Amino acid sequence: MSALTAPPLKASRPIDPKTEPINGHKGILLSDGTQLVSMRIALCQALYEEMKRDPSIFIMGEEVAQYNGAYKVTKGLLDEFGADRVIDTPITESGFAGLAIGAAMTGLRPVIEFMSWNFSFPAFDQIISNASKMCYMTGGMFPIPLVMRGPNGAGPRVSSQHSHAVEALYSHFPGLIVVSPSTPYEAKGLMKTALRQNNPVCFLENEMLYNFEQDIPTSEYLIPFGKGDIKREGTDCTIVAISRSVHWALEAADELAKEGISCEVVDPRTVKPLDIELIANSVRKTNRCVVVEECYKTGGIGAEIATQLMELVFDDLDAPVGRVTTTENPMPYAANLEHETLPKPHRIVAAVKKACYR
Amino acid sequence: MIIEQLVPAKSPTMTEGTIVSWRVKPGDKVKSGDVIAEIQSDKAVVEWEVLDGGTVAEILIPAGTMAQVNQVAAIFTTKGEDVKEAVAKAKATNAKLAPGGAAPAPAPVAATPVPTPVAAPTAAPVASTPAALAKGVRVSPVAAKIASSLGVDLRAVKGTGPDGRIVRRDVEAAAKAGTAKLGAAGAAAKPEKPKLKVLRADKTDSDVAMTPMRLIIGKRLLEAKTTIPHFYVSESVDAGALVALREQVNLLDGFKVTVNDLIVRASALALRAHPKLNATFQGNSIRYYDSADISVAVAIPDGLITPIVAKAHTKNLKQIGDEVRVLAKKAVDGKLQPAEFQGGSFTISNLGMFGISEFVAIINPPQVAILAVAGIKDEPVVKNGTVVPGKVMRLTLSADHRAVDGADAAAFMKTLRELLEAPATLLV
Repeated sequence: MSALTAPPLKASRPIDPKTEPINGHKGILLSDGTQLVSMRIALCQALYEEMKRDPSIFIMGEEVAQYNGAYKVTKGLLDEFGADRVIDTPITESGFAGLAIGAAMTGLRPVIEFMSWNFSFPAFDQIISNASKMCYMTGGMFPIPLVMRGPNGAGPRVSSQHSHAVEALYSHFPGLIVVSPSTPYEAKGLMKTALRQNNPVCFLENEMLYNFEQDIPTSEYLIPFGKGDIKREGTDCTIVAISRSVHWALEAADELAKEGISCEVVDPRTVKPLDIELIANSVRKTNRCVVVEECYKTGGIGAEIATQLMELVFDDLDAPVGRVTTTENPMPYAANLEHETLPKPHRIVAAVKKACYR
Repeated sequence: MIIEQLVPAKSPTMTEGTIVSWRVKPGDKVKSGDVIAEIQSDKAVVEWEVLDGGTVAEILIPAGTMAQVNQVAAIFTTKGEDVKEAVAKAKATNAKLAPGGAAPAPAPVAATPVPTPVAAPTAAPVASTPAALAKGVRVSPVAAKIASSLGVDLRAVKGTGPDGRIVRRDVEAAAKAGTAKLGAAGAAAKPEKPKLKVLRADKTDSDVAMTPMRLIIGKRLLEAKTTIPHFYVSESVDAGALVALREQVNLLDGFKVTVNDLIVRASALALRAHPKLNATFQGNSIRYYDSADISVAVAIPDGLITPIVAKAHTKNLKQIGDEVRVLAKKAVDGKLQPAEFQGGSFTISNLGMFGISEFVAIINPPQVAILAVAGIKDEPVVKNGTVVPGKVMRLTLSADHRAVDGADAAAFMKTLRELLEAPATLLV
């Protein structure tokens, strides 16, 4: 397998959690140069490989060391790299975010884990006022090679305060890179890119995708920022989907195919920088577009993509660009209401049909 | 937008209920949250508040009637749209949902109007709703874009999108069906033909002195017409392929080849094959030229002049066209140098742009021949024994019998016709 082409979305077989590791940095070796990993293993692998390669990388956060991370993404890193490079912090997001920005200014490459991106809000001032501005305000003297990572989006029934998707929020500010992988292959390739460049990165790992499994290359590969991927080719409607929504969009595309509507599913992979050319080229072909995301509608990624499409391909549109987002209410606790709040396949199907006048 | 108001389930167990009373009637304007009816559920009589407001267009389930959940009780509009199709569709839905209606008769098709039961209150005049959107054409951007490339007249296309918006599939269907061809339905789409200007106020008669140019033209043409023994050979050319070729060549960006350019090129090639026509009469001798230097008659204010496309047989269509246009502009501006209009070996006079059927020209001495080119006309032509519509152009050669004989002129005209009827030959 070439490490540069995305592997099939579906793993060749499931990982057996009784006999095989489902965390740590070790994938399960398969023949022909591939390994079976979950997204959590893929992320750990990227951190492990890059920390091996570059001694200036260290990781810091709540329970990342002795407890191996709340979601076990950092499992085994303390044993491998020691307490100088894998550091437990108090429950002080603002504090350790500030610490990390300072460390980055001295030339280190910190990685901080927010136990959830919902907990990044106490550190908002550090992220916006310091991390995203420092390089600019010092005339380039202090670049901030900082990777901020953690789970993002709605978990199952964690209610209103713990279900945010923050792609749109952090994309708003110049100076931040916003990464939103949908597969283990991309999670690893994008994380390695994040750890080798000099800007602050918001690396948004979808909580519900940590167990998503895939065969990925054993050889090293990096995925550049700003390059999207076509997850499914089609002719009638482009569905731009982000992170977990990619999988919902693919489900919806299967459903729509039964009714003779052929959907092209485009995954931008990084929300900022955004591969608008890939999206625009797809829309030039299909004439229709629906954007699916877990953020809210007002000021969401869909609003941005719809506007850019209007600017770029107005004359190619056959219908207004549709948006399927988390509905504009705090996430309900009840499972049936949560289902209706999220941009699930049935809502995508309805939006695509509307765009196709069906 | 057309909104169907479906009978709501007012309790978790309700599957049917009676519409006790309607609080609205057709023509009423309803806001979101307004109560439109009272419904008897399996538990109580409850008010029915609507989510989507609009104007009541039709009430389908009269008061006092038992209704099933999700049957269409009423149809609202937001812009006064025509609801005839929506009513037919709703009735089919209602029939399907009615008890024992699991296997309904084929749904009534919109084309066969369903007789409306009289029960519905029709007190309010329906005319109070605004007329359907009639202004302009609503069309999606890509539908508008492809309509011009497919030659579809949007005014003759029925839109199937919301509010009658014409969308891509409508244009494609119209193009496929061949309906709504641009220019077929919309005569108004053609630019208006300028009116004939023949009516004017009377003026007095006048004497105008001839300009030096007119005096020279008069003197020379009188001499030509009276001293040269003219004879004439006419030929009809089937110009269908010529017209098609010109259109194809002009698809190239930067090209604007005219019929005249094609004739200059064809004449140059024919002259090389028939050098007897490419000559000047010298009194006691005839000078035959190797090069086809073609004089092209250009009308200028109060006269004409014949600038020369030198060595026309060596030039391609674009070179000829560009050169003719430069020379014609110079001629009109009076800026031609003597070398640019003296010394040609053959002349072409083209009145095709006026749609002339045919004409004969006076030889431009000392040359021995001139070609008169008429317009291309839509005429019946015979092809493979069948009369079919064709495009015909008449050419008339005037030749000086002192230098040229009839057979020479005829052979030249035959070659010229063959070249023009197989115009790809002009591209090499």
